[in-house]
Amino acid sequence: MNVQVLFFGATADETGEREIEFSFDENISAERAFAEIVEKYPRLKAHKLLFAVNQEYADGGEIIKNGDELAIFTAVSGG
Amino acid sequence: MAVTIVIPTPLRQFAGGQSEIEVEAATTGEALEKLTAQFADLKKHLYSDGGSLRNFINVYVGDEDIRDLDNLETGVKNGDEILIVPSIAGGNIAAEAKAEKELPALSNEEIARYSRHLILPEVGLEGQKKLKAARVLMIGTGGLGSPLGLYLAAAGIGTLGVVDFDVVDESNLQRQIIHGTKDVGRPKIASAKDRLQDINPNTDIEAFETRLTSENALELFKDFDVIVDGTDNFPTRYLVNDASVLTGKPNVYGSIFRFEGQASVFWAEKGACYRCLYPEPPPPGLVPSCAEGGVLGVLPGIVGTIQANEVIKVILGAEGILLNRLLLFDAWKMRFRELKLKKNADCPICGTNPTIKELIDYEEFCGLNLPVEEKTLEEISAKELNELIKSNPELQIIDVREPHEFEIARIPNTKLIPLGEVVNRSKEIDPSRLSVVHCKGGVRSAKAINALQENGFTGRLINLKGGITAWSDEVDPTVAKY
Repeated sequence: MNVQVLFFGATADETGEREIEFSFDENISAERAFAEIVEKYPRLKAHKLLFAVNQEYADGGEIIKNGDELAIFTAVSGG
Repeated sequence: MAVTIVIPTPLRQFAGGQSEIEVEAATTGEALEKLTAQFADLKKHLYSDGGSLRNFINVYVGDEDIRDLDNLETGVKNGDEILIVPSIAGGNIAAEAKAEKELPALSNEEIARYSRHLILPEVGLEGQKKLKAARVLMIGTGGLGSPLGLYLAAAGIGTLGVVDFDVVDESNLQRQIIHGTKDVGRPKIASAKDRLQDINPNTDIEAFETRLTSENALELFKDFDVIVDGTDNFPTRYLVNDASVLTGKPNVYGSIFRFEGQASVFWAEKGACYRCLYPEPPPPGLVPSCAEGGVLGVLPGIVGTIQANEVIKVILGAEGILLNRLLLFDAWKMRFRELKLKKNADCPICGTNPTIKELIDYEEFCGLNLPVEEKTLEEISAKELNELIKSNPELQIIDVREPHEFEIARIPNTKLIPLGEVVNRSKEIDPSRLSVVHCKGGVRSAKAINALQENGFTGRLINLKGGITAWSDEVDPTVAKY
């Protein structure tokens, strides 16, 4: 199944991507899905990452469905 | 029926420090009576002398105001939650103002000035008086503080507290529109005060020329109704959050990075705080500042005006404030997105069992006090580099900035390898020769040295302190500073 993955802030710099399609096995948890994404982009590992599934702050237990929108972001401090 | 009464932070001191108290009751009134029987000090804060609930105390069962139900007769079921929300901290500043004093009158000049607000039913005469009665504290007069300050003064906020300690620099003018060219070199606080006062002489500007610290924040915050976070670094953002939570104030937040902005209203008594969203700060140095990473000048204009908008709505008691919502804005795609947030029950400052009960050392919390990197990093000043170039013909200078920065200014005879490519292209650096690594200000070059060393580069690498900016200051002023 395919999902949309969005990168915000420093994570977009680290991956060189802002929006990609990602393919996962059925019934994968958010925690595992995000771990797979970080595995593909190891430079993300250094960051304190935050995750969202379908525009909602995710704690990891959510089950990912086909067509979901995942987002990875970090805190930014500029002002 | 066992029900849980949630006690707001400012009242916890009267409830033995507890955030939740369970009682047996069939109605809301009975639950509150049992609560005040246990904690007598709480009684005078909840009830007037006549025995009725004070009108600035709002009580909710679930998410409904009991005034919309059966008031104190509202029935409660087993497991229900009763929330006490004092309007002092709970946002209905109008109710507080009314309870304590009449709202201030508007002069004819003010009526003419605010005419476009007055004819809006959502603001009207009463709303405009609430704005006049309000005290808003803005932290920072930089990219975010500039537009939000201008609009808050223009909107007729009665008292605007302004905190800044910085001096106006030429590189600020691309986005910090509260300051002008004539202000370069002046304290930002003086420049901001002049501009705000010019926009609206009716607004009382309280200027605090100081850095916000753990020592002064609570004292400063307690006299204001709303706090606006326009700072530019993580330690101060955590400080602003914690001081807002401890004093029970809403924290209207905005933050920017290159083309992206974030905004929210953090308000522990009504929802999530900054720490619920960001429990831990990022590792130091990982997220570039505006000075290192650049920022589109218009971006803070958009995010700052969103903050001003929310400040005004908080004061007016409007619905639809950015509470429990994180707005993510991408100026390059021109796209707004929103994430739903939840209060984190385990939040160390606003959760059910808070562990942070006073302000802490925020530099340390954000890992900025650890001089680890400096110990292992060999550095050289621009002047010393200039001497070294003359004495060591073998020297190689590596510039780790981006090609578009290289176009603006460069040190002669350098090799450009942007930070992102430095590990993959390390073969282009001869480990048998001495290397000096530089960037704009010395942060990225330190990262490059770190990355090269971690990936097994064996040659000697020296960081140019202050980067090409120091080179321009100390060696060759014809090299443009940017």
